[in-house]
Amino acid sequence: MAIQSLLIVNKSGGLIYHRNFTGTGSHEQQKQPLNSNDYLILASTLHGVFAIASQLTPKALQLSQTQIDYTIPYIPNLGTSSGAANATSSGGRGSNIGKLGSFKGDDFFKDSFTSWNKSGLRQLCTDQFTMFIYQTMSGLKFIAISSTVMPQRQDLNPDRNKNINPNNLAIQVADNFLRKVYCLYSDYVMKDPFYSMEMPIKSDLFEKKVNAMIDNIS
Amino acid sequence: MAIYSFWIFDKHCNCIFDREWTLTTNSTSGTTNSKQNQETAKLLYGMIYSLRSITQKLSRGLNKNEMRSISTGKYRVHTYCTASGLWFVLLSDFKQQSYSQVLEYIYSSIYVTYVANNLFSPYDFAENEDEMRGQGFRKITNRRFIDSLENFLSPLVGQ
Amino acid sequence: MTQKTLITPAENSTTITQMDTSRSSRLYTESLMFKKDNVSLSAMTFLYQEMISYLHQSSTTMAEFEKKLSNYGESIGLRLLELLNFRASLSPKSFIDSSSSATTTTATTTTTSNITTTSATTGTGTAKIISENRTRSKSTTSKLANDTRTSSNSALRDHNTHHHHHHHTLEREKNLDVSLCKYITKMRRRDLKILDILQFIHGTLWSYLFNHVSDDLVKSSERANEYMIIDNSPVLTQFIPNNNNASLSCNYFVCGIIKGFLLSAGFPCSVNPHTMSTDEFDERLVYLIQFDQEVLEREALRA
Repeated sequence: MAIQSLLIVNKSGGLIYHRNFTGTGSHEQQKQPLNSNDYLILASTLHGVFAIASQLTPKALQLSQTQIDYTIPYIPNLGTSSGAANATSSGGRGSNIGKLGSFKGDDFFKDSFTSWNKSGLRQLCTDQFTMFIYQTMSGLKFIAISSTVMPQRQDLNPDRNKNINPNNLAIQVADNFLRKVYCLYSDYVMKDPFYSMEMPIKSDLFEKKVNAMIDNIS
Repeated sequence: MAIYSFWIFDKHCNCIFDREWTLTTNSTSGTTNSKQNQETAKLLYGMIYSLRSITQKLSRGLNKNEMRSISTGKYRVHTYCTASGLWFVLLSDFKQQSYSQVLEYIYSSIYVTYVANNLFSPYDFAENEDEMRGQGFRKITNRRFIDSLENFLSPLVGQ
Repeated sequence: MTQKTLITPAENSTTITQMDTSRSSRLYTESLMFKKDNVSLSAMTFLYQEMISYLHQSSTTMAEFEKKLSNYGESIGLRLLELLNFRASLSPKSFIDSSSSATTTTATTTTTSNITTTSATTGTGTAKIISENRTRSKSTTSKLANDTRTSSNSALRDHNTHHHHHHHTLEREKNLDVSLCKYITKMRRRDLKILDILQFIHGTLWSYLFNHVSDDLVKSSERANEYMIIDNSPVLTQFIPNNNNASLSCNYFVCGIIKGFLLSAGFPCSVNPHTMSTDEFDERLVYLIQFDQEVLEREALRA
């Protein structure tokens, strides 16, 4: 899963972080690269659509009261270097400590978690990219644009692949990844005394950690 | 695996057909071309329109980038846009990954047969300027079209 | 805050041991014995962040901000010298071959620490148990004391809850003092040489604050009064980005601790932070200690 872009939208729809990762190279460049204003519009549009999406819940679902399981399984070592590399690089403490900020162990979390994004927009599939949205409890949105394209042709024998639906697996991977970015955010943005809430993120440490995670993923 | 509703929008942002099933256990339940769904249709079109503009802004290369599906935690919206600006929209269970083929079939075998090839059906559902830009109210009421669509979609309802 | 060792917590959600209001006098009655307590790194850094932004907003110049932050640390450093010297005098060995029955003492100390962390009512029970144990161990063998103590433990606790709180306070203070001081055979001597006190900072102070010794202790080859303590990854400021010109100044808190520590030991000096990133450690920090001239003169006289 190659991540093309990462956006963070605050709870009032303002874009507070945006990076393009064009390390893949093989992709054709955009005809007209978007300027920062376009991205601001894009972020607030997504924010609005997100709210609309929750208004559109079909009547059948409202009536049937079916319980949907929002648990996202934990996918190990996504974006964090594997345990082996960890052991060799550690000459003692130091390089190991603070590796994951205030998170103990070799990964940010080890348990499955419940998605807070229950009725809002979660995924947008297009011919060229897939967009994933992870929403936190406080309404902050982490948006990843991946170059992976979801298959549009149905499997001839859908029963065979019922449990490994590529679409839902992709959502789980993306949720795991974005949750880790959220963990980084909680460390390197929220614990920065010079950061003012809801404002654009300028921390170079956050930048560095996000880049490292993207490098590990692709 | 279930489908919840089916919509057609024309190029004037009007909803020209809607069908909503209210019980997944009963494929004859629900409403067709309901007045109550007018607001929902507008919201749905607004969402699709906004996301389509994002999709096209972010497109790369020469090929046009088309939106395929939109997913929330509860349901998934499958979209299919024709060259003439018609939108075929299907709301389904969020687990279902793709209904592209279904939508393509509805367009090519049902819509084209019973609406486009039908000389008695209007070519454009907005008859004058006032009915464009989302102000239209005319719907596809063709019996053959509705029956054919019903036959095709009802097995999917409670699947 | 710095009374506890900083250790990485399991997750952001790690809770701090809650303070019980019914034990408000715990601060004075608790043993000075070192207990391994962990504080959530998240909680710690959030507090530190608030401290920084408060000071940053209330200061007009950067120098003022650094001074204020350093003063915060200094007041901690001053106290730490006293405390750590005291603790260093308490060698673990003294518990084993101290004069009175060894088993009782170790048993007592474990009960104390256990109880203070378990329930609120034990605050009254603790001292009583200790005194009880001591009287028993005088008359009976230590083994017997051990057995009876455990059985009397719960009974005593129940009993004590009916008593008035103040009744035991004086007795408890006296007992605790005795219980610790008794095992100090010889007070640790104050460090008089520059190198000795710096070693003490490098080892004991750093272990106390950050749970590891500092990464290096270097003497400047250019100036006689300059020494450097090196920390490869500073704990408190690890989340503060470097692209801000104020970020380096956030380290003045630890500088203040070192300064206060040295000042109260009789080594007036100034301490400044400097970044010195290496390939492996981007955040590598050097605390540059510049002793006043009088310190060097005194050192020369002693030699």
